[in-house]
Amino acid sequence: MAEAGGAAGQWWPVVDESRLSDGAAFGADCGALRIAVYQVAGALYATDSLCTHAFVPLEDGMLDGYEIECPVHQARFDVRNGECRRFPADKPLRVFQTRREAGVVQVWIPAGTV
Amino acid sequence: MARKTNPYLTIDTDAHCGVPLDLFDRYLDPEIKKHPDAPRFVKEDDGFTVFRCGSYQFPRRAKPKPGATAAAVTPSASFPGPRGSWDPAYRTEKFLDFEGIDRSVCMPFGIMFPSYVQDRALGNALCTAWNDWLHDFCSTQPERMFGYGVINIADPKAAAKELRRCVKELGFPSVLVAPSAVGRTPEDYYILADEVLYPIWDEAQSLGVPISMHSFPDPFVPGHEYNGARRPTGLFDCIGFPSASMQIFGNLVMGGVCEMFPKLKWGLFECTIGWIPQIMHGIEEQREAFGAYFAQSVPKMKLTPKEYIQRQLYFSVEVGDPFIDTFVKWTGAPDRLLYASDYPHLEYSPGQVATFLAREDLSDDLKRGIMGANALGYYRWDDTAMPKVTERAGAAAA
Repeated sequence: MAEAGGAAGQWWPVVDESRLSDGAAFGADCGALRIAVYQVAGALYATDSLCTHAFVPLEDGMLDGYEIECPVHQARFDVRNGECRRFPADKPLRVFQTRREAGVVQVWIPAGTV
Repeated sequence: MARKTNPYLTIDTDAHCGVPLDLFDRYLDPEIKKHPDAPRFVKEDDGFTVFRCGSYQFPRRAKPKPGATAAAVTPSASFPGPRGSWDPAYRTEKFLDFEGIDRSVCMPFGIMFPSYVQDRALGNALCTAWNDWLHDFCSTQPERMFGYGVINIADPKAAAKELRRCVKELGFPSVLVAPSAVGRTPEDYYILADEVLYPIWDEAQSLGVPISMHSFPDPFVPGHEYNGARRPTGLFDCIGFPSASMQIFGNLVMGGVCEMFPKLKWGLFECTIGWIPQIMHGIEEQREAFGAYFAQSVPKMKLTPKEYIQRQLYFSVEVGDPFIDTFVKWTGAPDRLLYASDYPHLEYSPGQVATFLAREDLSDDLKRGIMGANALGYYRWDDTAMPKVTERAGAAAA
């Protein structure tokens, strides 16, 4: 699979800021990598999109505070640190840095990320 | 998202629905709402939401310890359930379309056992509220989503009446019953073979609708519990489901229900099938060995288990079940197997249909039947009643 972050890492534009609101999640492809972006209390967070249990896109799930719930099996993850909070998943999500730049939410994809 | 297709008509006979937390506000009889034990959702100390109706609670779980933050949960069993269980648009696109499923028949979960609610009026009201909600839920995709009505066998007269309403007014192709009923005293205990339940089976037979039963290893009957959270035996899935299904099978076959209602079809869901040849063999071995004693002990059973299966019993099967060929060899009834996704519970994983179709140990005819053609027979769906299905089913079901 291609390395989304390239050789040096890069900021990927993923969604217009106007499309996010508190409690919302948004999924985007950063090269071959799928990312989910969340907004909670005005702050942005980004994790891998796919649940570590059955690889279901988490941006389709319900955001409950800082926890995103898988829309199929109800595994839960803390979007701040990727920590797995509920069975049936048992592996954490990777988290990514975010920023707002000229009205666009960007996610930092480190070098070597696949 | 593009809709996947596959060569066969695909009917999912066991996909679960969640339960919206406002269901009882919206659908429960106003008089019943006043009852102190009326159905409701309760958020426990650790934030986990359970369903309660009188002494009946789902899921049953150990009481959270003070200060607990991480809920010990039965997967996919918290309420309202995952989004896929209660959002019809998501469910259609990300499950039905993604898998290439033409039709899905929706099971409840958690509240599917009204006969374990001791107050029968409450159990009946629970059924009515659920059935009305399910009807509205399925109406969002009327050509693809169908429902199992729920009836309360603890009150046979009311159950027969609700059964008729489910079929005639709500359009459900089948109803779901619990494998037993409990009451306030030991005498208030019914099993499926009890003659007191015959009016229900008689009504179903006359209406021509199958009775469906979803295996459940925690039937609220002392001595038959496999509840992992309360009693961590680890037997919930691997032993609880098949053993509960054996009990149902015994009631229907040896208990005489199949004999008494020869035109009534029964479906066992999430039942597993590997045990069926063993039980068939065991019954016939006993009949041969004990002769008159067997006939006296099992007076209503006239045919062999194989003959009852071929005549009126159906079984759901998981896509990876390794005993399909064995089942077919022993029963001679490949048309009795039904595809069941178990969505959105743990038996389901995305890409499930493709996984099944890729199996090299099963013939195309067997796959065609399991995927959907057999379900047409179970639900008695035909070309005239279901024109949308016919477009794909014509070739597949032939």
